[in-house]
Amino acid sequence: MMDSLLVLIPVGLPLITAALLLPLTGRARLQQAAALVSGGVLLASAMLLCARTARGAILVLPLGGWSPRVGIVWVADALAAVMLLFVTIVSYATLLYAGGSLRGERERRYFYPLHQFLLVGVGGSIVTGDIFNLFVFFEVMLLASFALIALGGRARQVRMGVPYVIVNLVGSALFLAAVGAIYGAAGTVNMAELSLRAGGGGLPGVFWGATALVLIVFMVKTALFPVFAWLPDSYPEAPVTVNALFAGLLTKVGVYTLFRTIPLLGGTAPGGWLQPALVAIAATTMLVGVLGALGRSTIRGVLSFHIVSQVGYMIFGLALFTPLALAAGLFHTLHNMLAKTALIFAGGVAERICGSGKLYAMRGLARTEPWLAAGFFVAAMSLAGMPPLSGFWGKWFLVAGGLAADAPVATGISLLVGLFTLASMLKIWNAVFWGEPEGQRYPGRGRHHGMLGATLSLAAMTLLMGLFAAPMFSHLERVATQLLDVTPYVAAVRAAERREVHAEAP
Amino acid sequence: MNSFLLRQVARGVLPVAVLFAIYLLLRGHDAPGGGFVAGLVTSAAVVLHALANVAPSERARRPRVLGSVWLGLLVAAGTGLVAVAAGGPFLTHSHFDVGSGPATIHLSTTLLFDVGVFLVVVGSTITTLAAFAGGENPR
Amino acid sequence: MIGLAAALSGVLFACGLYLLLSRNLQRMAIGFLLLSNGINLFVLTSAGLPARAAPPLLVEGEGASRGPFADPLAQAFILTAIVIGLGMAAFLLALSTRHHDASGRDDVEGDDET
Repeated sequence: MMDSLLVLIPVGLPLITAALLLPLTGRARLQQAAALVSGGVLLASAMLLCARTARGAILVLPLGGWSPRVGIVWVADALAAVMLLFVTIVSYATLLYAGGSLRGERERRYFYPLHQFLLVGVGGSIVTGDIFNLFVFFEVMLLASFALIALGGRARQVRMGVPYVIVNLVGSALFLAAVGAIYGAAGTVNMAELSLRAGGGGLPGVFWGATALVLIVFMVKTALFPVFAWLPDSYPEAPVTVNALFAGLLTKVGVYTLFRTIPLLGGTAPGGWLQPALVAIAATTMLVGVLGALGRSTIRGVLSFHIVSQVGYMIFGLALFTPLALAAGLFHTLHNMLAKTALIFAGGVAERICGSGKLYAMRGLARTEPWLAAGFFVAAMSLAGMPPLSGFWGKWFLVAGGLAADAPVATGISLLVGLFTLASMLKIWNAVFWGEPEGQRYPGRGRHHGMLGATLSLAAMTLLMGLFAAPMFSHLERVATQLLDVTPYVAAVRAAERREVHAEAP
Repeated sequence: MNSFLLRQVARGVLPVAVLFAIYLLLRGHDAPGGGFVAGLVTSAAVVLHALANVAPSERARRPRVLGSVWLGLLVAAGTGLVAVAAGGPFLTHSHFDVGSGPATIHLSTTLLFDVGVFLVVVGSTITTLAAFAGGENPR
Repeated sequence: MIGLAAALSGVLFACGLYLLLSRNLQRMAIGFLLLSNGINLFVLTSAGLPARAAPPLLVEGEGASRGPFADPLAQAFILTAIVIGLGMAAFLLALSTRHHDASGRDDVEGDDET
């Protein structure tokens, strides 16, 4: 009972909360308080789930009593648990930040319910055990994100949001087509069953074509090269809170689905082209993302383009396919969720104080807002990979994994990109925080406890994650080993079937 | 839209559409139909009626049908939870035969579930369409 | 039958994609509707269209001996996808109204800044 509840809560609780928040429309403070209470419960349940799955337990919840081949199962293993934990942390920080950051009536009215719907989609994408429900939860997530990105309703926001909407709509349509083709070819859409059948061989070419299509769609959602162009223009136009929420969660869900499906399905793909292709894609993504960021002229523009580059690191870890590299990719993903969100938080406050997000429009924020500057500095150095922060260890493990897996070129590129990242962060630092104060048109606006608190606590967490990198990494190595050896996962899902059938027999 | 023809047509269509929707709702368990499509048919007729008979300035006013979404969700979730209370999986349905011989009526709790879906669909569709019909600022 | 369905779904797909590439938001909404219908047809087809298939209902006493029947799971997929498509279409239309209110025009102009 406890176990089923732990798997249900990440989806069920935000759904109930969203339903409860809707009638409170127009009372933003009350909505925020309710969302924070619900977020606290979510945080606690994610921690419990982490503890429960830390020793390799896999919780399986068959809904509706059908066999997993045709029915809906939700699965939570150690990977899902640790992702859920960080998703909840980021979303909680966003709620704190939103109190001071939302502007205008529309944003205040609709942000909190939409935030909960987004969480339903994210949580569902993480725990779902079959690809059709993955499609459904992607759509829930997308619909909420569409509404959030156009929340301000300004013409420019709509215009820049349109490519995001269209690319993701077409991506989802292709995803559904691929799910249909996979079902037609394999007779199931359950990931464990698919893994078993794919490993057994004898599936028609349609199956592998559709699987490749699914991976391409996940690449779109993850913003990997060459299908990342929807991200850098649309994200900076969204309200700051929404930008931070997307940066922390959305592409990371794409990363998670790749981590989940590639070991299950791709490990047995014919031809062995998948791994080198992924390495090449990851390296190109890192490089293109960081170069693109150099050309941007607003704070959040630079930071949003860096999301693309960082995603490359995560997929680089996955592409190497060793427990060490996979754990490094996961470590980098988790680190990035914290650091990137903190950076966009800090950038948003700076934007408020200056009245514009343009670089060089103001200077000297470090003198007037030392706490904000400290938060930004820690998160920026973490992103650039300076010791002892979490970003340093993320890169350290990745380089170690890359060299051990004999991929020197991509590893070299990752080091070079780290240098560019540092340059990019220093550029923002010089342009906004350094020097004599000038151009700060609204100096009082940055002093909001919620906004500063959220920024500083996330920055502190990247520091903590850096200081306790060793125990964290050894846990992630266990997660990665469990991920690569798919047999326990498949067995756990199939055992749920037998248990259900057994329970129905008398 | 102020058109005599449209008003007359809408007046005729509304009762027929509602009857047809009830027919779809009742046969939905074993044959094509069900709460979703019945709800769509009803709200299409209601919206046609509103287009013909309500002045444009009035249309933007939020119609008070959101309550039906809540009620519908409650009914649909409730029928599912009854099964859980009885020890089965969520949304397990039960069937009964009422009467005997040729007068037998097959009833099932899916009808209640469908009524819930019907209420949700009617409420949300009418709210959405009314927002569009207002022209300015759909909320 | 399968050939016809495949061709139709291809046509719907092509038209939908063409309209989605337009700059006009209402055309995009129509394009999305065509695209999602094409995909739904594709899913139905790829699950198999046995000739003279019975509805997927078991009648008491007859068992599963009534010959081929349609695949209920594919239909469940499509039903879900239709409802999702309804939501997406509503969003696209709302977006186009909002864009029209905010800028006074129907189309999304190119990027004039960078």
